[in-house]
Amino acid sequence: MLALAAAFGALHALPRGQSLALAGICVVLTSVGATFRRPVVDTVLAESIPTPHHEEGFAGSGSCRACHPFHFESWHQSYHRSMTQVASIDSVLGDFDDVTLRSRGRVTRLWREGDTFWADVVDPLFDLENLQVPLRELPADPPRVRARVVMTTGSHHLQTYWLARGEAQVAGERAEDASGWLLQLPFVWHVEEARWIPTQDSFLTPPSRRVAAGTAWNLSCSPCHSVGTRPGLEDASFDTDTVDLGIACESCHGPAAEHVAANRDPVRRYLQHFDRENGDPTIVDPRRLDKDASVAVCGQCHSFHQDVDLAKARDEGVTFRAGDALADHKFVIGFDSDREHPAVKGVLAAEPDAFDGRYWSDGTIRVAGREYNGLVVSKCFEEGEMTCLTCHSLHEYAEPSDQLKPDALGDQTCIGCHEDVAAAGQAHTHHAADSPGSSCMNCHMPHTTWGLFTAMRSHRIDSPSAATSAATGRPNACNQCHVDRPLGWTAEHLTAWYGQDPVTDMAAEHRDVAASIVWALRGDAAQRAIAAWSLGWEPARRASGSGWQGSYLAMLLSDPYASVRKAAYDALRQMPGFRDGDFTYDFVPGEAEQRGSSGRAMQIWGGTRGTFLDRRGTSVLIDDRGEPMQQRIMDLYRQRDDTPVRIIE
Amino acid sequence: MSEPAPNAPAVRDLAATHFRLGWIGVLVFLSLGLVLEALHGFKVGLYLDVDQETRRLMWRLAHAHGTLLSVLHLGFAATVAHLPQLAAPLCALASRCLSGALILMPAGFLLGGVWIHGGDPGLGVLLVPPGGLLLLVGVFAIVRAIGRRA
Repeated sequence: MLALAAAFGALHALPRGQSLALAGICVVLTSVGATFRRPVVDTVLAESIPTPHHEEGFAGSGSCRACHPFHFESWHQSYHRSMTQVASIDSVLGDFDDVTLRSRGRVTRLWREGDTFWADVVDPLFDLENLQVPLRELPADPPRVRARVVMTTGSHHLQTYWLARGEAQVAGERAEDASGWLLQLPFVWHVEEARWIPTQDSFLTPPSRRVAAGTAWNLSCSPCHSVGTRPGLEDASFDTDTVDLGIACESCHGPAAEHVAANRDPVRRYLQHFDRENGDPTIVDPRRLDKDASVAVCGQCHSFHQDVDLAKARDEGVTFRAGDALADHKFVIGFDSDREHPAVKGVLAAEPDAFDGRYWSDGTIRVAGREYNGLVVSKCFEEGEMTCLTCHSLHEYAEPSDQLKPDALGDQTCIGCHEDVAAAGQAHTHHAADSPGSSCMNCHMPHTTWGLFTAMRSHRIDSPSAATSAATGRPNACNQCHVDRPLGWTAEHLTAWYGQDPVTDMAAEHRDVAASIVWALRGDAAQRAIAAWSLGWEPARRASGSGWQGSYLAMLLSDPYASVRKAAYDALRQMPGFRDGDFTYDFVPGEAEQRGSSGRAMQIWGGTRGTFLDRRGTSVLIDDRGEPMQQRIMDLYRQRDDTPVRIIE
Repeated sequence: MSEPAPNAPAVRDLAATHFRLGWIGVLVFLSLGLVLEALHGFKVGLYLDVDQETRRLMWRLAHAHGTLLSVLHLGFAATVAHLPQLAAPLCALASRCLSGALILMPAGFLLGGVWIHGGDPGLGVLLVPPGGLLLLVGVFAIVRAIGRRA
């Protein structure tokens, strides 16, 4: 300030012309200085996150904007773009205001320093290094690190955080042995509920007293959550570089450097504008690919797969480029894949129950986010021309959540091929034209995959089959809506309406007890989660009543699986007596801690059922007096399938 | 009292012509500005949607160039009115060039924004370079005329 005052004084002392000239020079110099001022560089961050590269023909998403403003903007608003972001006050959604979190006997502390985010945690690398060591043999005070949060994954449902475990970040002896690792914080932020959740509880995983080892972004996440990332793994250290963080233009359109260079020529650009028949050969347009190559663009990530050359992938990253044959780069693991194939053996070695969790026993994928596996075994794909882009558009979408085309929100897309079915109308659907039962997707793409705490639509497009449900336990569309009806009832209708063979081989309880109840009480963890979700699904509550489900959902509040507990709580909150928010519940603490919650929920339901109970009878196991048929309920409950189920999307 | 220049009547006509052109231009292109503001006011997607960025740029350029070129015409008219001894051939050349620029440049931007191709304007924008060339020649002619005045 003094200097400024002195400068003003000096200016006033000069003749008017000179002072004006001097002031002008000052303004010019200040402007030039501001223009060429070195930007403030966060060197710790820059050294921790992957180094940018524009090699191997990549140009980076920034080069697309000038010519494709609409496509750039629609991508920018998508959750694909924000799948990986540099941690900043704009991208971090979680609460880092001096938070202390506890899970399975460990403490994690989170805090902010200015615009930076920090964590004091048990060294995530310690857990990775001690995967095979029994819990009882692990030290009581494992090594800790004070690490900076440098990147985030996700921005829609959950947000995961990545800790820089470079030498500069770590206090400990092994700091020099391992650098460049981007390791997972053991908690994720649940966006809608605005709360922290232990990372392992955000998946459908068997209960465990042990903190599950996180993953390294460099290896596990970068292939699908960034563009052109090269992990650069060597001697336990990473030297990772990347084209774009997040799923960006060149994920789907391939490397674009040639395209960008060619289209600096305005004459070429205008010739392209007026040639709508032929695409630009310098870039991949997934809409112009044949159906196999088109679905491969999405399938490079939305499939259960393993890299064909895993060692190469660990160093050089993803070799698949849009337009390539997927099989040349990735082995898509189907239910019927040869278990002796090296790629499959590799997966099974790391995760022996990989198939059990990911597939229903008829081979239908049941983990969300692996839609490719479902689509490619669907008739619409095998015998038709359906691709991902038949329903989805990455740029012209109705809303960013599912990126469905506006037409695909209803039945128009299906009717495009199935005109005869549309013409038949209620003769085909046997439901009122404007009811959920007449929606193509509700019947042919039921919610039988699980991820992100919710049931999602199966992309194996097929018809409801009671026989399949009876044989495999895979829920069918009819019983996901008619949650108060037995599987036998469904079988009879499917036989009467569509001529399906009668189901003779069906467990006795499926003849008279609602399938949703059988699955909720006796099913495996995936069936229980999906059954709980179905009991709260709005169309199901409209079709099947909404006042009788309380006792089953209350029982599921003390399920061993956190995901099942959350699904049950979400459904319970839709019920009368629970909507007002008086009933509070935290799904994170384990099964034993939840018994009291189940009891309290049962009491609330018991108190309201006199008013709201809208179904009675054997099918819902509620007698004429409105009392639960405890004996039969407990008989089913005691048969619960406790096979460990792991669904990690 | 100074002698009137031999070409004074022609210069007066030229000044009057460009005063008229300039003020008409200001009227037209300020009106265009009001139209653009109305498009903002009524949130017209044709102009404001994300995929209309190029159209927005082109029409803003049409408005800006048209208005500033109109003001330039007023400046030219004022110049020839105050300096009647300017060389008549150069003034005539400047007049034709500035008039061409006033039509071609805003029209090029305006038409370029009517049909757009992503980040590229429509072919109407091809009117802009010749308009820009005429503008340069016109301004150069004025500079030369001022330099040569008696």
